[in-house]
Amino acid sequence: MAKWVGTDPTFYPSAKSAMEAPREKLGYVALLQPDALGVIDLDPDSETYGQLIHQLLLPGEEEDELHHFGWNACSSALCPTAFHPTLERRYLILPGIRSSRIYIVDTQPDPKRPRIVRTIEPEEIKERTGYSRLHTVHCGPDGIFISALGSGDGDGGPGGILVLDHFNFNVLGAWEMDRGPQHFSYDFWWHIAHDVTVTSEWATPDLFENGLQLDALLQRKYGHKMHFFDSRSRKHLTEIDFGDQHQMVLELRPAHNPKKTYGFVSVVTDVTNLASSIWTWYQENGKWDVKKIIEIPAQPAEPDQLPPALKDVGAVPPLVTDIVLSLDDRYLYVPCWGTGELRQYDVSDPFNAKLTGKVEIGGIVNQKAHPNGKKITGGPQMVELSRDGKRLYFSNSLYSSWDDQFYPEGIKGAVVKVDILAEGGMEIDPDFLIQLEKGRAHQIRLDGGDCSTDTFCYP
Amino acid sequence: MEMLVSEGSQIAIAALLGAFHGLNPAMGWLFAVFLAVQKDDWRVLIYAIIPIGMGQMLGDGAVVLLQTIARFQFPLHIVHLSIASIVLGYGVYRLFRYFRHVKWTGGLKVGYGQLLLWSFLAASTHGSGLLLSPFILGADHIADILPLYLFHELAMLTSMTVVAFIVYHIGMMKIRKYIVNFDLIWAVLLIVVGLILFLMNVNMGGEMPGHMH
Repeated sequence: MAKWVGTDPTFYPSAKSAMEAPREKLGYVALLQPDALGVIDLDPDSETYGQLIHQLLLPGEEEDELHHFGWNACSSALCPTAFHPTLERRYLILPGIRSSRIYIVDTQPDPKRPRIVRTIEPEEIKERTGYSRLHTVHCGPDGIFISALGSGDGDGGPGGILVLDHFNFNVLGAWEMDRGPQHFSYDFWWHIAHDVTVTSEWATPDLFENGLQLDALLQRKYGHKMHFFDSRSRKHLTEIDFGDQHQMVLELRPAHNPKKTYGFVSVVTDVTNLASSIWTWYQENGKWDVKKIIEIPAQPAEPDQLPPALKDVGAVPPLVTDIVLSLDDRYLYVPCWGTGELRQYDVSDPFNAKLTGKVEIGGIVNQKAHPNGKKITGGPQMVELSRDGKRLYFSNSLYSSWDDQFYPEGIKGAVVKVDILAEGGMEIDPDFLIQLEKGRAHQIRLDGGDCSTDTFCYP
Repeated sequence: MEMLVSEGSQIAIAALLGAFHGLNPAMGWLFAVFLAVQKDDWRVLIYAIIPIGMGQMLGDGAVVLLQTIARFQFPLHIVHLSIASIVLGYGVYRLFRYFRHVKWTGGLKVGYGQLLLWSFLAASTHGSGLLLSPFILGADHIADILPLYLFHELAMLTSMTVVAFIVYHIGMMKIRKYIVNFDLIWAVLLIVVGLILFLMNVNMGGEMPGHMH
């Protein structure tokens, strides 16, 4: 039924107003082996708090590999030129990173029992967009935007961005009008009020689908750039090369305040020393540039402690592969999947990050247990922060074939909760741990939105 | 039908429709607020509402002008039936597509020209000019239409400006739950006006009040 009055209460004009949102009651988590959408109970007043309460098994016969996902609509529906008062945050868009299939999942009428309402087959995606291997989902102005890592045929590139209609989920096509030199793809987001879209580079499917290729990495063949597009003309504006020793430029977290023209981006590894790094991109005098603000070094280790992939290097790389920025643009959370750490930095000054907190759990060598005493395999990987910035949830798997290289004994899926202290610092909640009997966990989404779902048009 | 005959009440209705049109966030005030909060300067509201208002006046004006030309250049009966069909047809079309609107590719960082163009497109495709059709078809002289149009636009500009200032000061957060589904209401209004036009046609035996004397 059409709504006559009011916009979706989970749409907020500004990030500041979204921080006043009620606490999350449910989380959705991408599960793999087998592929499923998990529902976790995050309501402390509920009897099933801290449990996986439902699994929507996907019918893709294990070829999908769930990875990232997102909402059909969010606060961007309050933007003035794409004002859509009747849209609702209701459908989850679940792409299979391996299959290139998309499931449209309805979280109504029972948010604890979401159901598939539509499946878009890989053939349709490839034919209509020329892309495959779908990754990031953003509810954008006037559509659903999804990044793709590969081209429609084969295992090469270019990857890019495709758009779905946000009312009927029809595949509209590739987004770019002119991609310029952009070939690799991974994450994307935008400075919405400045009409600028940013994209980053992981690699093409031939370089990641069957595991990290160490030779190619040492030959610096993975992505090492980010790209800036004009959101209006959808044309490439400029690229920034981080230098080819900086391999795999991944997560993009622009400031949530639309007035700002800076953001944070993570680089997985520097092949000269295996450090991970965080960079700030920014606009100055009309030109875009980047500056390294954080470097997290690799930790030396004995070869017999290391998996075959790392035996020769004698160190554990931090492998930063996700970051999240609080809605007030103050704290940046950086999980180190290799070394088993989660770090909190104060980035109020985006060029001068201050380490304000650290917890250790899991890790290739560390193998630090959860405070409740249980062993955690893998390390902190996908992080998600509640809108009020008080609770962080993370899962421990990266990507199936890469998991097996760095954690050859296998990863048992887990979701861990971290409490954020009022004036910086954090603690792992000893009473909260979801461990899967079977399978792995990747991206987590909170009901009503979280710190990487929404675009705000108003400061 | 009596209310449609009196000139004063016609102007009042045209103004009311204009005021209602101006309340719609998708017609301009929200864009003005957006631009003003980016600069943190209330004066930007005024700078923005000027081109937005001009765009609206041109958008509505184009639709009103087309109808006026048709009214005075072609046989009234045919024009009446055509406009009635267009209004009703557009209303039914909007009823099923009320949630969609012109896809704007001019971005958010706009100058005066783009703001004017955006506003023109928003107004002309929204059908508010079509709502004045009963009065246009009933008018004796071109001069009768002008005040209707002017009061419609004046009321629109006034309500738009007032809302823009209020929202700029109290914030979008407080008013988001009061935003009504204008697009759906417009679709219903268009259908109602379309039906009125058909009824007028039947009642007057194909003749308009203006042609009775």
